[in-house]
Amino acid sequence: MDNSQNNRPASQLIAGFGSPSTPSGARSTMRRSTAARQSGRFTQSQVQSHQPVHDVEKEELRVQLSTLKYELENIKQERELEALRHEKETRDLQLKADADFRKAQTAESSSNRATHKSDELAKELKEIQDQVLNDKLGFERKIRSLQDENQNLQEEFDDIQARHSDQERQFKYQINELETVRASLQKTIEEFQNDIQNARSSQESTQEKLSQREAEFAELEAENIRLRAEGSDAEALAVLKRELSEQVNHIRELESANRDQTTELRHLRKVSKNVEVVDEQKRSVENQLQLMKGVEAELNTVQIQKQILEDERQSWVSLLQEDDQPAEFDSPDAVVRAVVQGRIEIATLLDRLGTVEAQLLEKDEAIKSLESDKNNLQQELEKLRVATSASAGGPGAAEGRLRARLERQRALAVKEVEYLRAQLETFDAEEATMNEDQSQFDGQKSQQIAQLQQLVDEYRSELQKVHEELSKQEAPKADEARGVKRPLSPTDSEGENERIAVLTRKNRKLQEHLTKSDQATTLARRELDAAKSQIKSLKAKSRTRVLELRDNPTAQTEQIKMTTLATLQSANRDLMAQLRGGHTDVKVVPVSALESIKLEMQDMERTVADKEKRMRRLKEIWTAKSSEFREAVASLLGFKLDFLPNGRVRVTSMFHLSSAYRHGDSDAPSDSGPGSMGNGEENSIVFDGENGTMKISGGPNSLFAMEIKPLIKFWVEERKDIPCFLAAMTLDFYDKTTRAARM
Amino acid sequence: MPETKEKSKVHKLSIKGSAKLVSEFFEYSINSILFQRGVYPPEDFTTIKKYGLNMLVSADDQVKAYIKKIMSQLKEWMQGGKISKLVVVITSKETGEHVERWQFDVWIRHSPVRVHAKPTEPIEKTEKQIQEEIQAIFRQITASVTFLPVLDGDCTFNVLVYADADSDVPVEWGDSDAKEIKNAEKVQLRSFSTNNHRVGTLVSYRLAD
Repeated sequence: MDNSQNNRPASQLIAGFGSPSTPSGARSTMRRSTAARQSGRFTQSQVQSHQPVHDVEKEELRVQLSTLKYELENIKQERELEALRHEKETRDLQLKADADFRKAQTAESSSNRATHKSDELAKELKEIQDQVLNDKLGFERKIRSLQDENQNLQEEFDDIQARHSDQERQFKYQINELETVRASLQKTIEEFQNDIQNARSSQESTQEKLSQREAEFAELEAENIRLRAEGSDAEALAVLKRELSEQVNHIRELESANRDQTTELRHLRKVSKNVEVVDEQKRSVENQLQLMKGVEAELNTVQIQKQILEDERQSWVSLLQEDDQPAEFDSPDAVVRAVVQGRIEIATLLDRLGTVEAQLLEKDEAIKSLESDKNNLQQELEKLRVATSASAGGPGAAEGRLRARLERQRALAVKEVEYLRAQLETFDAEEATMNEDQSQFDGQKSQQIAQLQQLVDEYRSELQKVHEELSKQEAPKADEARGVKRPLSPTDSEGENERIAVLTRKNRKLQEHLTKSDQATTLARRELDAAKSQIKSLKAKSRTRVLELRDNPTAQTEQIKMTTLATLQSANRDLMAQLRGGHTDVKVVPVSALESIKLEMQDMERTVADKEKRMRRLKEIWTAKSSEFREAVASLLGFKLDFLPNGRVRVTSMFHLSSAYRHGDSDAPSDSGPGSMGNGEENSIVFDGENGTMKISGGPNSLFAMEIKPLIKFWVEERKDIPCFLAAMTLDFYDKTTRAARM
Repeated sequence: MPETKEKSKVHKLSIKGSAKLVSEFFEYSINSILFQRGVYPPEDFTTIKKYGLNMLVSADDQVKAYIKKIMSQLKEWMQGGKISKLVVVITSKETGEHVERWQFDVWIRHSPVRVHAKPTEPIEKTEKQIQEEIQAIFRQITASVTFLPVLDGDCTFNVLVYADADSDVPVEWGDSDAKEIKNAEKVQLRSFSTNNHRVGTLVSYRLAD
């Protein structure tokens, strides 16, 4: 409301403002209005304008100011209004824009939806395409696998057929065999039948005869009756009777013969059955014999080996057995043992030799020293001898002399003692006579003398004792001297020497014993070691087993060899028998020969199968490689290559859409002539490597030829460059295909 | 207690793995020998990558079946530690003479029976080291063609297994002789060892007359 009221002045104001050259009337109105509005303030100013007049101007200015203010206010208001209007406008616009936006949004969403949908559809399409592709691939794979399967089945079928034919052949063989057997049986049956026939015929003949006879008999009887009736002569009757009895006898004989023959026949049949059984037994025995032959061969080889070994042994024995001595070594073991023993003995002897040499050296040393000692002693002896010869007697009774000397010394000593006693007595007497007064001195002297005497006595007794001892000792000495031849050596040391000698002898013996026992122990040890190692090896052998798979290739070949050998041997034997036996004109071979041939056939079949296997393997490899090669060429160069015989190559472009052309042509069976596509033939070029020519399928006037004519002219005829021609053709066809695709 | 138990378990497992490795080695070595010695024609073999080498393996069904049969049994024995030797004998088809003999000796390390062998602590080997050792052996087998005499005539082969006497022997297996070659020349090839087994290689062949 307020807005609308204020609107008008504002517009007026605007109008006023719009033309600055507006008359003051307008201003006055404004002034009026301002005056009316700000009367309050004017009154105030009037109150204050009690000032001088020059303030009037001021007042005027003030008024102006107020008017201006008012104007400003107005303008402000106006601006606000404007702003409001603008705002409204903007809001409207905004609303409009919002609406637009919403619309746009909806449009966008719809478009989005559409695109989404289209995307989805595209995706779906793609999926479907993928699926289709996958399916296609799967189908192709399936087709391939099925083809493979088909091929396999075909192969199997072929195999089975081959087997069938084999079996057929085998059966035929068997049938033939059986036929021959049957024929032989037939023959025997026929023979039997003939026999029977003969027998029967003979029987029949006899029966006939019998009947004849009977008839005759009847006739004769009739005649007889007639004759009797006639009352003929008895002579004829007798003759007839005789004849009759003869005939009867004959008939009886024939019957008995017949019976005999039938029994014989029965017996023969039994015998033939027995013969069959025996034949069967014979065959089994023959088999056993064959086995035994193998064993015999083995035995022979073993015997030969044994012979060789025996010869060897004989040679060894002869080598070892010298001078016809009884064999001391009955086995290599003993020989080895003896050798070992000898070795040990040698070793010990060498040891002993060493020790003995050392001892010998020692002994030499000792002998030398002893010799020097001996020399010394001899020298000494010589000296002593000289001394003894100087003193008394021979050197032989040195002891006696010594005793004599001692005796003499004793006698001398006794004599001396006596002499001294006599001297003492004389001295005593002299003293007594010369110094009678001096009794004291005398007593002393006498005492001294007595003492001396006593001493001498003691001395004597001691001497005696010594003498006795000496004599005592002399007595055993004399005994010993008799036993020992060397009177020079001292008796004590001699005994010791003897003892030592005994001991050394004992020692030596013991040492010998020791060495012997040493030898024995070393020998025993060796044997023990040998036995131990033997035991160990035996143990190892018993611990481990050498194993092989029974069905191994070596055994298989061995078995094949053995069976062929056996069959060949039997065939040979049979053939030999046939050759040696009856010269039968029948052209038959023994069954064993047939079997050997069969075996050969099997062998051949095996090799054929082997070869086929190899061939197939090679073929597989070859086809794989060639298809790989062709595919590589096709993917790299865009041409399919087909290798034809005689070095020709058919080249077909991968890009040429011959199918597009063929669609039109397929209905109309066009044979030849310009523009024909060769009816189902692919548009290809055949290069002949040998002649260096190039043939376009469908002839030079075909559509295909026309199509590539410019290229041929450009590349082949002018530039003589085939690879470039092919490349140009590829590019050309590619262009066409893309064009076709675009269409 | 639990620790030792675990240890023994680990030990067992490693023996199993080692046995598998060794028997695999045997399989490939048999195939290699068959190819290298021309026992079967070369077209019978296909190439396989193994041990970082191009190994040739027979594609013949019979041979494959035979080797497979041997291997399945061998694995069992190996895990039981019953095997002491595996021998491939090449025999002449014509004369039946043993011409060549490849012997693989197997020693088990932690076996309580052969304690005296080596008391030293075994060095833990990485798979790579083992593989390198095996590679070296195969190289040597391939190279041995240079010194081995040419095998003339058709030959066939056989695989012998030296097993302990107490091992279980299936019905298809039977005892055999050692098929030793008379007056043979022997060449010791390389050996390899896992943490549980040591495998030595020895080829003996008949000297040319």
